[in-house]
Amino acid sequence: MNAKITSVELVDLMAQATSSGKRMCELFLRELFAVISQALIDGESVKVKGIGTFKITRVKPRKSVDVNTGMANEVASYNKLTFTPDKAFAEAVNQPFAQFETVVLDDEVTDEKLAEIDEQYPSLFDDITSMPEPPEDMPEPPAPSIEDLPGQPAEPVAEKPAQRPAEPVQEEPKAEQQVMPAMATSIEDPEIRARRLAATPLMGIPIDGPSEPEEEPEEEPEEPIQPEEPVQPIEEPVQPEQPAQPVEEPEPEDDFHRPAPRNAYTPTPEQIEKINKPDRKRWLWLSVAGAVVAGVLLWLWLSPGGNSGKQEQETVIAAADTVPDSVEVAEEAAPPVVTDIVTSQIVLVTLAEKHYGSPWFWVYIYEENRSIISNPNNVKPGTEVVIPPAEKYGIDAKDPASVKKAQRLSWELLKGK
Amino acid sequence: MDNKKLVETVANNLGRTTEDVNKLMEAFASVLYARCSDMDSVAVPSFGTFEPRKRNERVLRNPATNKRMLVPPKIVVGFRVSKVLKSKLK
Repeated sequence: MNAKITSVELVDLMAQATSSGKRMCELFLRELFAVISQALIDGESVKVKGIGTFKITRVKPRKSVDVNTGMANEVASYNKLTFTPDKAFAEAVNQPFAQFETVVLDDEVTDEKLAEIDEQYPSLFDDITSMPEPPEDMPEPPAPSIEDLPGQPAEPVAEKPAQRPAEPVQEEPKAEQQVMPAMATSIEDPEIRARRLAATPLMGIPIDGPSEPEEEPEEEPEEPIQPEEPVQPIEEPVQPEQPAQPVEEPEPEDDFHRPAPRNAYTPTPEQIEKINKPDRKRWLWLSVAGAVVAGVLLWLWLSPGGNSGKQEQETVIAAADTVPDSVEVAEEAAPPVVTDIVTSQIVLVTLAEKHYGSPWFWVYIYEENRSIISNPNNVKPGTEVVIPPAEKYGIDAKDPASVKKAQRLSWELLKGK
Repeated sequence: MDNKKLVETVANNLGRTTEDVNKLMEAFASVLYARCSDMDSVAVPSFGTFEPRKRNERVLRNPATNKRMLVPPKIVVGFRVSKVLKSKLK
């Protein structure tokens, strides 16, 4: 590559390529180019087979300017040697780019023409066109999220990168964050709130364990709430490769609880225990922020192999005396109620899509949570909603009649609003 | 001077047959092809250097039809005349 082959190397290479010796090759080269040179000096052009044509052209004298002095001077005429490579030579050298051809650029291309092509080959763009469909289907869903946005502080930006890879887990901390500020002053539903807090520690414990105690206690003693229901959503996310939640919810609850509980529940009891302690509010905000980071870290840490995570949890258990009992309770209870948390990105429609397979079924989630949700278009981020079992309302995304019914319902609901 | 005459002259000067010289010519050409294909330049003393040069792709416009054309990149063989020969040619 980009090496310069000297005469010595050239002779070596030639000797390898022929039966003649180096001496012969050297003599031949010298003689060959001597003859060519002589012919060129005589003003002849020389054509060498397989190499190319050497040609002498006379360059006329021309006027120029001396760059140093700025004086006009004249460049004398001289003979210029030009070389035109043989076709075989040129092709051999251009081998890497041989497949390219000169293309005529079509300047006439317009948007209309492109549109025609789209129509001609619709299948090519199936994937693309099918995607925008959801927005059309749900008229109101986007609204809630937009309305929610202004209300929330700046944290989401920081969270976003982390959130993408593991939506389910990280969303919860986020929801917390958004709600916290509001809660600090007025607490609408203590139960929900306590649950939410109960959920947090999962994220917060490994790093923030020590600081957390201060944060929660703010609540009234909400011990009685067995964290079973709220915890559920958390444990789903723990399985990273399970995107298809809708399937799991109805039946496999028990299977779930068996393997997951240790991870999912242990923090909760600890939490509950701590709820009784006095607190300072201002720690709340700080530790929640810490909890989000910790949650991401923990989740990342847990995902490759649960072992290390488990160990950590076990040490936590050791610290909290009451833990063993509550763990048991949680395992046995395993209620069939499925819940999920609304965030600024995840609204009722998104939840419906996720759990039932069609956004239209958001109406049923709304129905189920009428007590908590005042306006379906504007659900407070962090609100934990109960996802009713599909059978309760005859939800079946594959049944057009069922979807139709949900659509009609949603129109009526929205009209009423 | 065409190839035939060149070969004859060289063969004469070397005291070899034209076939021998033709073979040597072919060998030289094959070495030249191989080296230039690897983007190596081949220098011939007191004559000049054969060097491959890469040309970028470019857009041309045909002045007659106003059509624009995209010319692909390519590698061309250039030849740089040695100073010795240049001065002799002057």
